[in-house]
Amino acid sequence: MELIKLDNISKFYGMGDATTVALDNLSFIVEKGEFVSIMGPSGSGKSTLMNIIGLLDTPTHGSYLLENKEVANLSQKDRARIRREKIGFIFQTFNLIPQLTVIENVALPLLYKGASYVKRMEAASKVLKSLDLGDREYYLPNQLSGGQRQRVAIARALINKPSLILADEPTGNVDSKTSENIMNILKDIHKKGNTILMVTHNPDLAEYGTRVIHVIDGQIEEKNRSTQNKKKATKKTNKKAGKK
Amino acid sequence: MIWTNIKLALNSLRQSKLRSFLTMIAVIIGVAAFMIVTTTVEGLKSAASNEINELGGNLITVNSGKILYKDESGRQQFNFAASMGASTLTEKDLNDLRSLDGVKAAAPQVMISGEVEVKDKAFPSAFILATNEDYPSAFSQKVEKGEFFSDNLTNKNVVVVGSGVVAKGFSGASPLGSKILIRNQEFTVLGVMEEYKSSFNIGADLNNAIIIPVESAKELTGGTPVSIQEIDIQLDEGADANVQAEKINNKLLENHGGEDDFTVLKQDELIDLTGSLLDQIKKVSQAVSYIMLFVGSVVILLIMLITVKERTREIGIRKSIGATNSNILTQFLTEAVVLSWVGSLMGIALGFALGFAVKAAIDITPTYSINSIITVVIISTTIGAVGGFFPALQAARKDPVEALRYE
Repeated sequence: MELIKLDNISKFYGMGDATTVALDNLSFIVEKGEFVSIMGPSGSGKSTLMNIIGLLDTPTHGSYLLENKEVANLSQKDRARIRREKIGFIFQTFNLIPQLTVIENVALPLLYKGASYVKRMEAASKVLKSLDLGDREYYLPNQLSGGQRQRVAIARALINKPSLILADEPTGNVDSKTSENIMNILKDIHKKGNTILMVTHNPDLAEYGTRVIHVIDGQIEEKNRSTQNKKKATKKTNKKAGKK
Repeated sequence: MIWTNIKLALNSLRQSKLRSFLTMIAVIIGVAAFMIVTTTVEGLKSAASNEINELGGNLITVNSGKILYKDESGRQQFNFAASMGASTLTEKDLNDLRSLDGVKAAAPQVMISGEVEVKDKAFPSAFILATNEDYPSAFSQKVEKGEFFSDNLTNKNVVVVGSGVVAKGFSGASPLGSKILIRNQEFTVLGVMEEYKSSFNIGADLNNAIIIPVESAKELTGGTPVSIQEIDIQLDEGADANVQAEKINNKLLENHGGEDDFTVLKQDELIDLTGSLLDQIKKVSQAVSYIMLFVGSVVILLIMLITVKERTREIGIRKSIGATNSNILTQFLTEAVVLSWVGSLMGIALGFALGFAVKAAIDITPTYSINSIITVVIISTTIGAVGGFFPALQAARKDPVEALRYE
């Protein structure tokens, strides 16, 4: 089942001679349950693509179907509603609100959904415990390590049980050991049936995905990596996961 | 959601206490000034009303000049200049009013300029008031020692003094029979008035009065007819004040050839007049506190603009997890209003504290009313909302992608 279908999506910035093409007639399908790794050099359009898929930005033209519904040109209010109901974000810099405690940060998406205080806190506590952060609920973000902060951000992304998780270089700000730990968490989340789109610069981490795509000059370039190779990579990843 | 926003607002207020306090200073001062002006003037009004009521249950005053009139919109206005004109009230007016049915007493107030010497020492705080024997009844005042003078005087050069004159001029000793020099003429002290207990003196302090008969005043001023500034009339018990005021008005119009050059005020009108005069003072003073509150609103606006700028990334995060523009607008607007509320609470507390200072300094008890508190709450909400709206709107309109990139 198609979760995301992008059809001839373009994004331009600026006007006249100063126009920059960030995405150039890009078409792309993500099936439900996929773990897609997106790679590409800086300035290739990866972030713009993530912002459009995450409904933080709108394309200049083209069609975007999310769960078979056109969402490319929705109002800001409707985009906000879909973000809080269907999408979870994990950022490279964690993006936790410094003045809120861990549990308050995790519970925040439910506030905008209109859940009561007790329900928000119960749900947040449950997710935090599942990520081994049960004893850190009332800490402030600056009292946590980088890995713990990213786990809190993952908990926040999961609390709404989203259809789609967007991770923008989730291990970009942590050391290699923590990085592996974070990737294993994402792998577990994927195994539970979640769809994940992850931007990364690291080819090793990209292999955690069931599919790797490259964005170059605003277009998706399927590298000369055959479907067979791709399947091999997927098997390898699954094997790794099985061992652990 | 609102309660969560209030908690968030209090949280960010706590996290930058000094900055929040400095932001609130103008609001604190403005609210305290508003409170102290409002409550002190209300206190003055109630003191004035009590004082007028103490003058007896059924007092009517007649003043020279048309000091009150109604404007085009029918509102009562005070013409201060009219009260400064040469008085047209005469002794005939006084005598005619004294003989009206229903009038128990009618005392003139004639102010005489001149130096007073008590025990060979100048007594500059005294004022000379010439009146007749009706004075104690007209003002419901008692004579504490000695007696008040009567109309059938054998010796016109007698004086009744206020308790303050005894305390200051005679060091508390009985002054009866002593001599006082008024405009270099010797007067014998005939009586002492009971202490006039008042925190709000209408015109002059009656405890410093040197009260002499009108006949003596005429001699002191060279035999010319005295100028009566005011006639105070006490009505018989049960007399209808409206009917009597009408009768007094008609009598004076008749005496003055139809010229309406005087003002007849019943006791309740006198209270209203004092109240409306004090209200004018209140309005002017409140205007000053409104300026402070306006400054408070501008300070909140500036600080909220800085806050929104500093918290741009937070706005991006909130939007990315599903906050709508109106969620963000409400959050920052609540923050500005809460800032203003906390400032107002501190202002009210400061206003109460200043109330004690006013009580100690000028012996006026400020009157606190639920209305003044409600007004402060409305004002502070408005200040916060006005000051916070533009920054909150700016926050709400931020592009989430740009906001998330903000360093």
